[in-house]
Amino acid sequence: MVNRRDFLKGIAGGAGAAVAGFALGSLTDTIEKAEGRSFEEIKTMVETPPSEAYLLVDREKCAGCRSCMLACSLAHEGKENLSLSRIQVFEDPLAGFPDDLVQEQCRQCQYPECVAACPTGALSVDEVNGNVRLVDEEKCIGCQRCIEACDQINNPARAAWNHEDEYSLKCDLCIDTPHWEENGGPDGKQACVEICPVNAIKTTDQIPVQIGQKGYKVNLRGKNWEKLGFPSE
Amino acid sequence: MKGHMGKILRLDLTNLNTKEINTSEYEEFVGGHGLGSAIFFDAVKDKTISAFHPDNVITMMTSPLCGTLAPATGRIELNGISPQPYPTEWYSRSNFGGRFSAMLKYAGYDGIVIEGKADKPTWINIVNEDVEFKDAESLWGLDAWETQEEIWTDVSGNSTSVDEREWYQTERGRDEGRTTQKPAVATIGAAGENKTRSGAIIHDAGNGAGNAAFGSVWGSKNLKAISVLGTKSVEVANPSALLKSREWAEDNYNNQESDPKPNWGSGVGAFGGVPGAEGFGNIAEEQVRPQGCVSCHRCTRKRTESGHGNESGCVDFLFYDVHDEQKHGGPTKETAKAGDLSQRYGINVYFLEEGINYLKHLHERGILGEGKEIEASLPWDELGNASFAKELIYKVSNKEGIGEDLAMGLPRAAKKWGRLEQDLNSGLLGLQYWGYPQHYDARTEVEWGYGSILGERDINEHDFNWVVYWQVSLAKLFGRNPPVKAEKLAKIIKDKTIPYNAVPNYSNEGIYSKNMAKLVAWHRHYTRFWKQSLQYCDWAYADFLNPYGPETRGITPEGETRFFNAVTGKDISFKEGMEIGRKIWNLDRSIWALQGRHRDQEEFAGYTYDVASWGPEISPHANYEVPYYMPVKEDGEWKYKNVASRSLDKEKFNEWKTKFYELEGWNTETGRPKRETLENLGLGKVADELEQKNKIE
Amino acid sequence: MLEKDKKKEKDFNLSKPSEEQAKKILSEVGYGDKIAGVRMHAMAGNTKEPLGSLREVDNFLKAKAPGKLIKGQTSSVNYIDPNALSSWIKEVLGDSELAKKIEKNIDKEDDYRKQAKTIRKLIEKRIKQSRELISEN
Repeated sequence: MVNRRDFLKGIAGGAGAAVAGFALGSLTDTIEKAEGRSFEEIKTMVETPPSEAYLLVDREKCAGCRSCMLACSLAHEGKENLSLSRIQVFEDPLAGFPDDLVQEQCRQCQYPECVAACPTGALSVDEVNGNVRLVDEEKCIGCQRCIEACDQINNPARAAWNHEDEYSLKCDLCIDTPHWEENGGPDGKQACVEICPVNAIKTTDQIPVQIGQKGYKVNLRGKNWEKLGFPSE
Repeated sequence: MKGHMGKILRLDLTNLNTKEINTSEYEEFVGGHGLGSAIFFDAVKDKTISAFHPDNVITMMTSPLCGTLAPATGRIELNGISPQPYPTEWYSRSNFGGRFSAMLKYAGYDGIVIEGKADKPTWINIVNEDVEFKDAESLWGLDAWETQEEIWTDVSGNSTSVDEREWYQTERGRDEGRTTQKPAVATIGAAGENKTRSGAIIHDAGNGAGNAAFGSVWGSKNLKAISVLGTKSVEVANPSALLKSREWAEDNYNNQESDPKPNWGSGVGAFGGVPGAEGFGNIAEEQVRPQGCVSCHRCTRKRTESGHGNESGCVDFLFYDVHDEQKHGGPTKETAKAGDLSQRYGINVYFLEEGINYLKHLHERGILGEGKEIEASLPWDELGNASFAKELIYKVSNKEGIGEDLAMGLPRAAKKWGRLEQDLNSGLLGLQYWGYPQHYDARTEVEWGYGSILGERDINEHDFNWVVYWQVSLAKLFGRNPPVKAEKLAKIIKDKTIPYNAVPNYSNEGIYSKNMAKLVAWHRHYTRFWKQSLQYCDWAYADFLNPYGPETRGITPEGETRFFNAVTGKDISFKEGMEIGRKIWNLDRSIWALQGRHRDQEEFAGYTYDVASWGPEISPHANYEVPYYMPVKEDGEWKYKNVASRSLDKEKFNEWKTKFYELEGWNTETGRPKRETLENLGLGKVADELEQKNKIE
Repeated sequence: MLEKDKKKEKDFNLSKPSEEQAKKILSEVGYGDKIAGVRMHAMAGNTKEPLGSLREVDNFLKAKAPGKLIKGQTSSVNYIDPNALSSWIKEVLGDSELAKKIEKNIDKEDDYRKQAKTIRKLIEKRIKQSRELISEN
């Protein structure tokens, strides 16, 4: 189990003094408008062992091609369907950059409401596979409480309903991809990361800041990106 | 076949009802253009009707690859009788990218067939199997962007901002499926509503099917928009092979951000390239992102901080940037704003590009203007500002003033002004084939011109163009070596142009050779199947030379077959695909024959034969040639040579046509397919109809 | 200044034109006397643009400075044939000195990017000179 100190580390994100120093001052600023839960809410919640990896995305780098969604659906379900992807890309083609696009991925929450809401244990922390929060499709009874719980804190819900095969689906960091011949999971590869043509998705083993978007929406642009004429700051 | 959804939706606008076709009935044609031509052939009994006749049919066809991870397959093909070509309104094609094609499949359809004519403005709302004809009175008159915003809100019941992102369609119940995606809407603007001959179909910010004026056919049918939203799955035969192939393609044939390689001096290239290379954006010093159609691995377009020029590319801004630069000393946002106007009004930008140049010549010569021979009130002082573009686009789209003539298209307007023949002979009006603006020059880069005149429009297919002209000429201009020596290029092209194995010999003799007939035949068959039927994008395929590829070799033909077989579960060879292309090409050729096509009509505009180089003779100081380096084989040696300042020899071109017809199995007197040829392709039914109409010898 | 640079500088020296010459140099010529520029684009093909003054020529060459292309971010080149340009400057604008300088300098460059740069440098110098002269008087 995670102790109190790890918990604080988790909501601050990563490790090390610099980040910890940033934590509380910055948190109080973001609580009001933050997506997800407030500091006060999190304090009352059940702790679970933190996932050993997290997906991070760069909203200003994404090119909107949906290849990540197609890869996710294909690797997991063996068919192509944007509605069956665990990562979702939203676009307003008429809006100006960067407000024209946002990606939403599962946060592998340190305090996962989806896990807490599941009445059958179908959605659980997989301690064998790096504590990834994932769905056991066999155990899922289709009550969709995980989706509703996630929807309460995330806009929109990251857990989704597979309406064709009737179970809840959520990101498992590609631990269970029957249609992809690569080893996934926290130590392995993720289909969305591998397929993204502009490297706008990556994984980290550092716990991102849990409150708000900042921990999960990061800058993945470097010098080579800038050389192509795109902003890197 | 896997990858197909199994159904094609027929929309009968006259009776406001729908029917379905089982895709399997037409499976031999696979997708896109092939499906479109086969369905058109059956659905339109009299092929000689005009484009605006209610019986004209517009098909919109996806392919088994659309909506899958097969790279750069985000387009949808449109076919039907087009009001744009001159003098005959040929059966033609156009396509556009974005999300529409994928979304149509997720809604459960491989394509849409638009038939009849509604008696009042109508839009179609498709959400999975629910298809609704909706009153479009309140949308008629809105521009293409406003229309989409209205429909997005109507269908999603939600704001269109990404900040209010949500799962839509929750009210339909969980087993129907939900989506976070906006409906994909294809719509027309004023240019289409008012039945000009330049109306485009627009989707999202910058996807357009312009160069066949099918938007105007929609207008004639009172069809304002089609919206699709779907939550169904595309079945893939071999998912792991598809994923593996995609990774193979990206790893071996595309730019790696971590290890960028020289780009051969050009943002373009075929399969491999850097993101955002072709969209408008940072030329005007704006912050931008690259943007791609569904499944794209290159994402060559852009979205900008101001939103001006979003997703526009190529001629969307090139029709105006020269004027902007002349006005302001460099490119500004005015170019992007002009591009936006072309999207909003839904007007063909190739028409605008050549149109502005032509009008400017006539104006400067004192022929066109207020109180002049051709009466026209246009704010010439504003040329280079978006306001000029707006005035012109508005007038054409609404048929006001000079716009009334221009709405007929350039060839028909010039004819009305009594100028067509003289201006085509001098080259002042650069309409080289079927009234389409010269894109690449039939005199130098013959495969482009030959393909266009043997077809029905500016082919706009860059397969050979990058490697035989652009990369070479640029290198020569800048004192560098072309990417590969001419001999190696010839060998690569010979290896890859299965089964004809043609070489790119653009010498003065080579352009009239049997080899060139093979090269053009390969091009016609390749594009008809692999690109226009499967929807492999022109900005990625064919890939002959690739800076990132093994030994600089491109992904063609391996890539095309690999992705196709992974999705469909078929095991076809590249050659078998080429044969389907030949079949579709012959079907098109038969439709044109039924429309009255004869070999004698297949002639370029006069200047092609009479004027060397790129004309026109504006002044003695304008009469020089731009360097046009191409591979040639002379005296047994391959080299790159400047072939500018060449005009075509009409007699030799006609001898070449005979060689081409022979190669294709067509009658050399008429240029029409022979019965034997059609029967061997399984098109006996087509031969019967030709015979019935006395179009077969 | 190094000897080499001095020599180079000399190649770009232009004597002061008369007021009458300056006016002609800055003038806008009639339609039949224009020079053509060719906008080359990888996808759109080549289009022609009649240019009627030195300023327009400079704008045209500046707008799609060929150097930009190397970054792979744009695929257009604005091209004017250097020989056609020098004869236009001589015959239409009556500026034989500028024409000669252009001819001499482009002979030394073997690629168009460098030629265009040299041409612009000379043209801009001439425009500045002529403008100053006219505003002085």
